[in-house]
Amino acid sequence: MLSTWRSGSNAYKTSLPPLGGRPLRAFIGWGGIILKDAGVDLLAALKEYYRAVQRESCGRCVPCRVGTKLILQILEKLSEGDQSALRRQLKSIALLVQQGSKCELGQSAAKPALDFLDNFDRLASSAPGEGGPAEYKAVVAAPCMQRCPAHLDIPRYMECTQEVRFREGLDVIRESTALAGVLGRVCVHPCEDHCRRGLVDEPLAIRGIKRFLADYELGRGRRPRLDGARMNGRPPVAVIGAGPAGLSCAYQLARRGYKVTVYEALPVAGGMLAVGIPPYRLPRDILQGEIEAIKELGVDIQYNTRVGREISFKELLQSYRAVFIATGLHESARMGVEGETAGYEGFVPGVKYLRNLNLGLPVPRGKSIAVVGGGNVAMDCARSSVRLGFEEVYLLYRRSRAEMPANECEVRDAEAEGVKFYFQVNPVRIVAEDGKVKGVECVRMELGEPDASGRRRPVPVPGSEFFLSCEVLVPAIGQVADLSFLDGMEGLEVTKGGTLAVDPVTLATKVPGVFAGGDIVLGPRTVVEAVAQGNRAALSIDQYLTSGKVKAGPQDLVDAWLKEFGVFDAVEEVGLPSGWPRKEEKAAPVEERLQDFREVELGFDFDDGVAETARCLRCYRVGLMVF
Amino acid sequence: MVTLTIDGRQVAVPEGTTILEAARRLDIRIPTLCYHPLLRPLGYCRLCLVAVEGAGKPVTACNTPVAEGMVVHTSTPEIEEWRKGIIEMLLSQHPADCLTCEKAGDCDLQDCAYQAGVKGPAWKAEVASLPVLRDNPFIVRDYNKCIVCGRCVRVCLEVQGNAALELVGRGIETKAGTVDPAGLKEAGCVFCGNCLQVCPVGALTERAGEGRGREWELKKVRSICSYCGVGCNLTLYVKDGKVVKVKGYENPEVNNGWLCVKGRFGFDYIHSPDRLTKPLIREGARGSGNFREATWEEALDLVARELREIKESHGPDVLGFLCSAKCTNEENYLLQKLARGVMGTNNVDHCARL
Ligand SMILES: Cc1cc2nc3c(=O)[nH]c(=O)nc-3n(C[C@H](O)[C@H](O)[C@H](O)COP(=O)(O)OP(=O)(O)OC[C@H]3O[C@@H](n4cnc5c(N)ncnc54)[C@H](O)[C@@H]3O)c2cc1C
Ligand code: SF4
Ligand code: SF4
Ligand code: SF4
Ligand code: SF4
Repeated sequence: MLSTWRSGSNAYKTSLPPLGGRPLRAFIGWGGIILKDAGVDLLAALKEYYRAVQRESCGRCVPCRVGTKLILQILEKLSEGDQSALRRQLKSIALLVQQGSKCELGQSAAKPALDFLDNFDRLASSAPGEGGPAEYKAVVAAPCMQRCPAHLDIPRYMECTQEVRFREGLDVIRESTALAGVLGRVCVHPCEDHCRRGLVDEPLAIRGIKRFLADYELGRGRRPRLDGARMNGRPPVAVIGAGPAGLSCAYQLARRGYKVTVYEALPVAGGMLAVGIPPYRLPRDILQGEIEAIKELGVDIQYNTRVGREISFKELLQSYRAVFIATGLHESARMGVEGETAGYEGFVPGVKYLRNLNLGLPVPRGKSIAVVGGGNVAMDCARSSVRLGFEEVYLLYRRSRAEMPANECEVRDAEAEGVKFYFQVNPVRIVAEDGKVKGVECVRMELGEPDASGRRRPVPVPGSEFFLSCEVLVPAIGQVADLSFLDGMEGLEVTKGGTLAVDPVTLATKVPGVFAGGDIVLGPRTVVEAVAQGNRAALSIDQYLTSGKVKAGPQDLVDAWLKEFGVFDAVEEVGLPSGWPRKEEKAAPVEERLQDFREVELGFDFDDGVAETARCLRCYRVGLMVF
Repeated sequence: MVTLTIDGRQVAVPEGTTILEAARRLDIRIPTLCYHPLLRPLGYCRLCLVAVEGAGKPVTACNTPVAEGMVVHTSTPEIEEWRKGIIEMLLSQHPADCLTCEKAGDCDLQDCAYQAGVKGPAWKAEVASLPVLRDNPFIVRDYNKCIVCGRCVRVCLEVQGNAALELVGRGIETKAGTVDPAGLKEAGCVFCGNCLQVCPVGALTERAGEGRGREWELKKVRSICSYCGVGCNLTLYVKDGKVVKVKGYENPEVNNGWLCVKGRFGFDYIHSPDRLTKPLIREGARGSGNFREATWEEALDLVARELREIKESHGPDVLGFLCSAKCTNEENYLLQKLARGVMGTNNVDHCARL
């Protein structure tokens, strides 16, 4: 075993996970060389590596475009016979490629050649070809892209934006999702946590640029346009639920030529995007425009059709050869306090509160409202209440501010808009008079002894009870599934958490032809994860309907491998000067935004959008697996 | 304002200024190839690499904004070595035919190599040779010489708003090209030739100028385009009293050096034997094609007489006056004065309105 691969200044990396069970003999890539089998012909593998780099090099900068080609040529010469003069030239070219290339692809691609030279004596003595001729597999990975659950090609749409090829940038996004404008607004952007620019100063506004591209299209008077094959006689597929998971599955199937029918219980499509997330975060014309584009691909959405009521699940199974269940979580979790089930006027669970608000159905009104919970749903309830005209909006959370699961910016905005926070407070009893909520009895909480998991759970402080007067009480402490529509379906397994059990890669249930994804599988999670699962389910359904079998594909294996191997290194020394701040998206001032449900964040203007992308380091890295 | 130090000298510049712009304020010259002051910097060529203290890697001066307290070195031995290396790499891929290249003497690559003292490449990169493209009457494209600076792509997009060009291919094969591989016309090119104007090397050259004079033989004459009222500034490239090619003259008040197809390529009329240089008066029937040369005096007398006769027999409103954007404001004023005050008609119009 020989490794030149280090993480930051830490120890050499020696673990080399197998690819789908197949052991690797060596890996050559952005961190150097990991050689497990001394019989690998390293020179041949290196040449293969630089051929892969040349295939990926975008050719914009001289050191990578020309330099990596020269490296390849010198390696070819070296395999005819070693000359120290050649090695010296190789070294100076590789150094220039490393120091001078424009993006990480070229910069990191120099490392294997340099490491080869530094360890020449040890490596050159390896007995070439002993382990039999090698098989190679080249991979390309970027940390942000790998972290995105839907694996959007982020560096590419950054580059398209930088070079003002906006249409192409949108097409890149739309390879992975039809919801560019939606995700560009409400995505929780885990990618930004793995942005290498963040190691220098601040991560790229990856989400904001997505929105910028989607908005630019609309701003030019165009409607979202999706490309895809028109129906080509492939068997019909049913999708239950028109949330992001269901819509994404339908989109990807329609692009492959399937006729998809989506059954949706509500009169609108979008799932929580339409009846959860408030319009001040996601204007409805943006959402509906993108849904229209999906429908234009031939996807049929049957509204007001609840599976289990208007049509049974069994009927679907009979009429369709494949079904995707993406029904999400539309029931609220119980707080377990006195009075919760009494049907008091003024008591409404968070999910229902937002749903009614969004569907134009009545919601309880009054002067004061208390929302219970610390997540984004609670923030949405509280901030919507401010806009509805409640004079006092309280938010009760049983832990401290630092532990709130809600995004920091949501909390900040809620505070700015006048929401009053009660931290380390829990409701114990709903107080009502004549069947109407009058307030809530609360107790202060403190951190108790660590429990079995080692986490200190909040426990009530005896005698600290107090009364908080309010006319409306909205618990928003979590969402749960309503699986009653599956009644009598054998074979579908339900987990302890009340979600559907599926194969984590293929999303297949135990019933052939039935797949599930989104919140109904993951629990309350995020839009982008729902999109990712919808996409993956489409692939499985395509596999199932064309071959009868469902299995992990080559990309699944590579993704799993990259995840285990690690593409983002939190202690990496990027080596660039810091102090190039991220552009901030514009936002409506508080006084203006509270007048109605108008959009709060306003995105980037042309100059800021394009300028922001200049910060991107374009962190594509090429790796070569040697088997 | 942001204060930074470049080569030991302090300078304060507005936020968002690039290192390159800040250095130019101090008259510190950093070599560039892909940079063009009128186009967005993208950092392709890497010649402008500079060292920033505290950073492990060099950065490109052209598109890195300054930061407070930054300490920049534009010319360390290491950086000079890299610059040489980059030029060598470019030459390793470049046809060695400077002897007969149309661009010789006006080529940024030649200049960079000369200034850096690079004599030639240590290596020749193996790269397929491409056909020279003459798919249109105006622009010759020899992408063997393309150094992938992207200037042509940017000018077409940012200045011409046309996006007919893009970079095509991967790795060593990457070159500029058209969005439709069939050719410039098919890609929607309007033949403004602004790409040709910014190409730093001999990849894009004027077809009309081919073989008609070397850079140092050509006399550069400043002029104004006579096609329309904008008044784009031009440089005429003249040899032996003949205009060989035209380039835009960078006058920021008018056209910044950019031109349209007429101003840049439509100059063959200058030396056309069909060009009228003296007034002609028709003899015989209309359409007979018989004219005789006349003096200006005689011709103008004739026109004045005829106009008066028409006015007297049919009234002034059968006459119309059309003026030209190529004339000055004063001339246009005078023409409408002639129409209204002398001839007595309001039928006055102007080609710029059509
Ligand atoms: C208030 C709120 C705010 C949120 N904010 C964000 C955010 O900012 N960013 C983020 O990433 N995530 C956010 N989330 C989470 C995100 O909305 C969900 O993770 C995502 O919508 C899940 O998608 P899904 O397709 O699995 O389910 P859903 O979006 O819940 O869609 C399921 C659909 O199925 C329909 N359905 C259910 N049962 C049936 C049936 N029997 N027959 C027919 N149709 C049925 C439902 O009506 C619904 O339309 C938020 C969630 C809520 C509740
Ligand atoms: S991939 Fe990056 S390093 Fe390579 S040519 Fe393109 S910009 Fe340069
Ligand atoms: S700098 Fe660009 S490519 Fe690199 S991780 Fe960030 S967004 Fe991705
Ligand atoms: S001539 Fe003008 S329109 Fe045609 S490619 Fe060049 S810049 Fe674009
Ligand atoms: S054709 Fe000229 S301007 Fe265009 S990229 Fe090549 S060298 Fe640059």
